[in-house]
Amino acid sequence: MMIAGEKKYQQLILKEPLKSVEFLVQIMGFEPIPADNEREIFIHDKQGNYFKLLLNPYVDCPEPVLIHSDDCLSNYFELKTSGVHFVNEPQYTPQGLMVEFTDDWGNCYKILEERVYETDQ
Amino acid sequence: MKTLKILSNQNKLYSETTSEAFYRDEQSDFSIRMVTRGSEEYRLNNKTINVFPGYFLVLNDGTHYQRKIYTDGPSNTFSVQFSKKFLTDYNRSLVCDDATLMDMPFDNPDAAPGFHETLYPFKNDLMFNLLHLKNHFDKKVSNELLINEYLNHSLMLFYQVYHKEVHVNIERLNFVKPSTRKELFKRLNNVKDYMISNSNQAMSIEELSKVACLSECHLYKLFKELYHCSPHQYLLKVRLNRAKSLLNDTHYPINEIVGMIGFENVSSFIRLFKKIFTVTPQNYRAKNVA
Repeated sequence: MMIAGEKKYQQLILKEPLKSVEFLVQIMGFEPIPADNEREIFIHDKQGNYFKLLLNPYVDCPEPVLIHSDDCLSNYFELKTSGVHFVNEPQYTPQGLMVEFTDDWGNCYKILEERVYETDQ
Repeated sequence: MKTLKILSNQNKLYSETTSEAFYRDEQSDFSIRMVTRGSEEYRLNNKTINVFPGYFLVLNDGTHYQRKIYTDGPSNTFSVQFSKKFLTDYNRSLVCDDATLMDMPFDNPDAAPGFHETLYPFKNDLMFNLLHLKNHFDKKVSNELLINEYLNHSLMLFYQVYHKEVHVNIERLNFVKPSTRKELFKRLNNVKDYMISNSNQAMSIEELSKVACLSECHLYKLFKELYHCSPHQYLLKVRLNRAKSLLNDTHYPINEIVGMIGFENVSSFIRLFKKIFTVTPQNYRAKNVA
């Protein structure tokens, strides 16, 4: 986690940051943030998490970008309908409901709907 | 206000918001029924079950029941009903091997699978998914594929809940004959439903033993074997969870909630709530409302 000005952000290493911005904005509803330096790309998701996109064209599949969701099944359904390629079906994990997909440029993403589970008392 | 949506595969979603309703003779598909606010009373198979937030009721395909709502404020109910074909098809995909499913893809048994018609805990993944589905339904989302995605997941999760609450629990009863285990499980389930449905009233072990058709000592011993706590401790848990939901969803003052959940003494309620949940009822409400 880095701090740029007042904002904390995560660094995301992507094969094609510019194309990924298009994908994240148009399909995932992210918003780009104007940066002082044109070579740096900042973006934030609907939950207010900030990301800095970095280029690394030499990795096969970089560390997945974790996208937090309020409703993973709904996102999964919408993205699947719009032709996004999913690596798996939504999985119930101890953290919540999660599903993985890739974009056309080999970047990996995970959608996570965090859930707080009740244990048996 | 009542809203019903019938999908093209005959699965149904139904929600109702009212403080007064009475349906004398209804018949259901297999359905999962929950209340997000208030309560709803069902009468089926000679027993009365009250559904409160935190629990859901399952009704089998073809069950006749009576349903009523008489509450001070409006109650919100929501149910998902699965068509017989959808349910039997899903069940078949679980019990048949791949070869059978490929050889006879359209074979559909006449009888739908039956489940224990009882109260189950409404929590975790099944709760999250059904609340999302209700949210889409309330917003009039009409995409059937999306709704069916939720229904498929919900049915899968219900089977998991059922396995845990029924199959695993039945095995806890230490009897050799499976039929004895099943019968005792059914009777203890009736006691559990009775306690949840009447948790706001005082009840004695003698009363519970009549519900179970078991002697008091036998009931006490078997109840502990099945639920790992005494009937009294179980009732306290039910009341405290009910208090949590009333603290979350209503503005009733704490002393009123104490009366509504069947406690006689405010200070003993506060002490017990703090002991179990490590937070006072006031702070719990402040934290959750904030």
